[in-house]
Amino acid sequence: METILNISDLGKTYQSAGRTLNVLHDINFSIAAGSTNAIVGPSGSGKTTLLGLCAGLDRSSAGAVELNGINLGNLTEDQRAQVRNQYVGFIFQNFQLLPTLTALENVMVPLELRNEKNIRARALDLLDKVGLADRGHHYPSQLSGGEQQRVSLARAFSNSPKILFADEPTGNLDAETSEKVVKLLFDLNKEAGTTLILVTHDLELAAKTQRIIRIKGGQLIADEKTING
Amino acid sequence: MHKFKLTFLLLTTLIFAACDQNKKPSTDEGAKSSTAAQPDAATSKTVLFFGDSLTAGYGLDDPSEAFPGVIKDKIDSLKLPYKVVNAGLSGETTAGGNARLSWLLKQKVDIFILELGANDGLRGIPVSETSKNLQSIIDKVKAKYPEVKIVLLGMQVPPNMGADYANKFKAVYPDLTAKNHAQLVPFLLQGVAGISALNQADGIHPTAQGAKIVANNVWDVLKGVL
Amino acid sequence: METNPVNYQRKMNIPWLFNMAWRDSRKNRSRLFLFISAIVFGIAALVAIYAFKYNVQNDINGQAATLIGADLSVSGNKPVDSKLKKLLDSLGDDRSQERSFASMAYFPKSKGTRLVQVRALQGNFPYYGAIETTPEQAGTSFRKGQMAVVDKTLMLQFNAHVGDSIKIGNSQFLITGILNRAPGQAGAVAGIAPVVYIPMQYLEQTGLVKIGSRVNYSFYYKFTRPVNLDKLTKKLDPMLDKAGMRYETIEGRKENTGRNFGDLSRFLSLVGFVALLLGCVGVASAVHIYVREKIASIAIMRCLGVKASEAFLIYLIQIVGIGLIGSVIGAALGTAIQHLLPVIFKDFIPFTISVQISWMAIGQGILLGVIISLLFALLPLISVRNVSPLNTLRLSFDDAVLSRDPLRWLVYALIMLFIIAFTYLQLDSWLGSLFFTLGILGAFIILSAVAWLLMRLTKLLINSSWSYLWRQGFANLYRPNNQTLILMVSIGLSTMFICILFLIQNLLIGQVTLSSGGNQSNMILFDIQNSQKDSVARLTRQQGLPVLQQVPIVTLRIEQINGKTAADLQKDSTIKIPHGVFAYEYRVTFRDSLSGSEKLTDGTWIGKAEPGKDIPVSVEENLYHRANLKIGDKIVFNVQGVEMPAYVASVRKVNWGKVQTNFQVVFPTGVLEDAPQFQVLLTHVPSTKVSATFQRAIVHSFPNVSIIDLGLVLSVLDELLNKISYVIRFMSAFSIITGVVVLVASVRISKYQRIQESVLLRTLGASRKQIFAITALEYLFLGSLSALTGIVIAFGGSWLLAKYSFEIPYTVNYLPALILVFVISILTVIIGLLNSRGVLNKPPLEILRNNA
Repeated sequence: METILNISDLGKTYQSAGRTLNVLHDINFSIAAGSTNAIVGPSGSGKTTLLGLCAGLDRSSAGAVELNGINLGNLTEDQRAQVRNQYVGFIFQNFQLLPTLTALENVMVPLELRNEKNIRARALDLLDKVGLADRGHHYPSQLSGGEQQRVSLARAFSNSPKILFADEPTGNLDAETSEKVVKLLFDLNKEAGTTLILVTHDLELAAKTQRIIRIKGGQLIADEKTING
Repeated sequence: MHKFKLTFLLLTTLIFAACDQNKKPSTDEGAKSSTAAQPDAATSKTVLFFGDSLTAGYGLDDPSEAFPGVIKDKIDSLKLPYKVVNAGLSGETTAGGNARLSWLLKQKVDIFILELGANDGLRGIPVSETSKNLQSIIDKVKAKYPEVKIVLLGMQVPPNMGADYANKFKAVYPDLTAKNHAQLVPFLLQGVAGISALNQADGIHPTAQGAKIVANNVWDVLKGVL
Repeated sequence: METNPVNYQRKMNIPWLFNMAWRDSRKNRSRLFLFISAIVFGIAALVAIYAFKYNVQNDINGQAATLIGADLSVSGNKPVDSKLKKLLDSLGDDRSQERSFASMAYFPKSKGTRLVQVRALQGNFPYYGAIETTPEQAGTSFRKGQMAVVDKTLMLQFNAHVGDSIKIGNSQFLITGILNRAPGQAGAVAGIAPVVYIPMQYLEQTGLVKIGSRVNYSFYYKFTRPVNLDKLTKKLDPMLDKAGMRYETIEGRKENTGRNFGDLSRFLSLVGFVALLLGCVGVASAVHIYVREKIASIAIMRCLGVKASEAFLIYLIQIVGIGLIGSVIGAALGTAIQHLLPVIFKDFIPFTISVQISWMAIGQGILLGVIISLLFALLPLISVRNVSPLNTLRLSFDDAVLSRDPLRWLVYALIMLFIIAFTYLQLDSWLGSLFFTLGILGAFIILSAVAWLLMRLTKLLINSSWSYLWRQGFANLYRPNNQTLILMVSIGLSTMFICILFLIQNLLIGQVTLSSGGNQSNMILFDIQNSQKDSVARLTRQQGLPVLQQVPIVTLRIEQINGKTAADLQKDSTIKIPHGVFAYEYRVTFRDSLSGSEKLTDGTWIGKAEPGKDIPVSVEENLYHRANLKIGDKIVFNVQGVEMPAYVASVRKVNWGKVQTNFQVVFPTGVLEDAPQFQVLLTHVPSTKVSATFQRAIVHSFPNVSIIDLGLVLSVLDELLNKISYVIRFMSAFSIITGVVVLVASVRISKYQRIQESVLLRTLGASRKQIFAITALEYLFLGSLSALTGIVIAFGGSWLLAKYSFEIPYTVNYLPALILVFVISILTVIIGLLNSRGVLNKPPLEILRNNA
């Protein structure tokens, strides 16, 4: 199977108050295209840092991140932005919708950035898929948490990403809403054939993926296939 | 403005914002307010010219160009035993002259030539007032030096002041002459007044050339007194 | 799609950037309103000030035109010859002539005689302004018959009324009107004799113009077609000069009048500049806080693939757009204010200020508004480029990022350049603008330093033994995400500007009132003989008038300077003394102390002469330099025949700009008391009526005393000065209001800084009172300290301005400044509390959602 993401000898250190903080070290794994994966670990284990590095939001201190064959370490921030725009989708714990844009406009932004055609129709279509066709003109503050996360899902899929990063997508939602959102996430993912990388400490959610990578103290401690894989 | 030069001179001192302030006044006069040499009463007699800017030589390059200076030259060339004292003061009125007289009478005077009143006339001061002041000056001089000979230099105001005023003003000098047994030069500026070539740009003060004519007017009378 | 390579060179989609800028602004309109209000008020003030400046300039120009009443006037004291007459008759599109001379006028009814200035007029003069009379039409109608208009004071003096007659020369004229004001009267001459206008066609029969008459001939011209007067007068000059004639143009008069308004235009520049800088402070602080709030949004956009430069541009477009809108609104508001205020205040101001839309001012205002929004927003905006997409995962925006950005130096340089360039345009002096810019930079540094110190000190001082509220309130000053620096600088600068304007305004108003009105002398009595001095003073007081000054005047000449006489001068050309120094008759006085308008610049003042020794005299600065004198130089004065040896003991600087007696040489007491002298008395007459009564009394008792009534002349001046002081007051009031608005806006903007925290505290169960107390403490401390710092800087700044820019003596009233500190502290606290009121009145969740 084709590899979409290859992590080799990845390390990240922070300078803080004169001390070097070793957040991640010697992480190695690769992700197959079209697979669903979960990175799990307790709070402070470094999983969010790992996500940031994988998605090209940050620079690594050591090792390499290769996304779709591109070594992110060699790129400038603007070039990485370009990579994100073309290959990467994001879902965040606190939704991260632009508060000043309507739901529809939020979905449209990645498409607009790519200068694509029929943007509005495609965005409406995506909103319809997440069941919010009639809420397109609402601002994020007028939507419930679940609705916001669904808009966020629509946005994440709008640019047909090759890989989707989700950071605790249900962290801010109640159980019932979580379930709906998760179902939607996996359905859309399946339909688009996107690679999914989910960061969570919710083992129940992680179990829905094909592979679970466990992190603790900045190190990879386990990498196992689930029953789905 | 020239009509009021005398006042204006003062105004340049009492400067205020609206006027051409703080320029060096246009006076450029070298007249001596007394002779350079101090009077020496023991050896010679003194002719005192007591007057205003006409005597002081307002606006002339050289003080000796004023008519008292011209007369002094004449006296000197004739080797007459007279000392000439120029006590002219620009802007002087009869009242002012009356007040400062005592300062000048400290020196002995033999011939007192009185040239005042023009500034009174230009300011429209009542003729009776001018006459009164001139009489008072004559009285003071006579009181101090009873032997003194007095020559009055007659003045006139320009016709624009009005015939009534001008006539009354003109009459002051013959009247005083008669009353005080003095000598009179009927009109000091005879042959000069109103002739622009003989007057400075202000049209009121004679040029050096004009001053010679003025001096002649005075000399005609003065030579008899000497 | 697999093979789609990454297109790193994606072209920027400019319309989309505009679209995003528009979208992004939508939900933040209320916040942008505060930002916009800084611009709106700053620009409104600027436009109003510029428009006022242009209008006042026009008014002054207009006033200059009414002062001479024609485009060109030519005058001389001789009749013109036929050649010149032909030339004079060929000039202009409308011509008038005037003959003026002194004469004795006679009032048959009261049998009174008085020296007047007769002005015989022919033609439509004046072309600008009017011969103002009561009744109004008399000023033009008198030209149609044997009629006269007569000076108001003169009418009162002789108890004459309209319908009586006045005899000028041989002719009687019907008095058809009372003269209140006429063009060309604002001169020294007008004061000496009251004016009577008659038609020129009746001049001949008065019999006053004859050979030997002293007449002034004036020719007035109006040019309806545009003509280069400068060129024309240059051509005429030699011919006129030869004929002993002078000319005057409006342009020339304007220059003379304009000089008196140097202070005003300097002040207006200052006010305009301050209004603008206040706008800048508002812009900078608003955008700073705005960008902070936008970090999350920027991070999201960056996550979605927006480039750093694109994110920067989105906000730049937004800010410039809003700046433009704000500037346009501001320009409109400024124009409206400029139109409305004179209407509102028309009952309070005794004169009219013309109101015209000044497109120049509007254009300048809008342009400047856009430039300052751009320039002062740039500093916070460049940090947009450094917002990491990682902020979506964890909020970690670091202020330090900005301070390391090398681009910020470019922005600082641009700001400095702008300030220098703008000040140069205002002040027209590189040195001045350099100092101004340095001054502002200094103020900025001082305020920043105080803020920094404050943060350090509170951190050190805070003690766990303090009550929670105090600790929390003070800790807010230094904890991360604090607003200490930005508020210190913006409150401090606003306070400083407000205070400087206030102080300078007071100083200038003080100057203006010093030169006119109130108890300034407007009547001069001279030729008072020594024997009369006490009785004249007594009479003055009896009439209820003040004796403002009474000084003796002695006339003398300089006989010798350091042993050199005028005769030596002619022989020896190496002597560096101008001839005029010896030729001039000096009018001097003697007294034992300096007067209020004098200042010693060198030497020592000696007020009393010692008998038998050389007399110590004080010489005025100009004469001192002209005559090449030095302290200690020996001068022999000739006091009407008596030589008096003296020496230069001191040099005085004299303010010649006031109506009072000033002297080139001042003697000490004890020398000239007996010398021939006369007295000058200065008084102030409140009205023409009092003036008439007083003059009548003086003329009756002291016929030799001459009177100069400057009331008419000074009333013209007074009106102008009134106008100036009104403009000064209005402009500074308006700028001060702008300052307050900017101050309010910048404190108000900080609302969002503390919301999250207040809500959290509220959620944790803090009471209203506790949150109020914490907020109040923080703002009180910030407000009072920055206001205090601002005012201290303002004292220094206004002192420098007074000394070097306006050259006026500096006095300061501390009470208003202290009140200002108090008011600003309280204002800051009130706005701070208002900021948190919204938080306290709504459920926490709602607020969290709205501001997420």
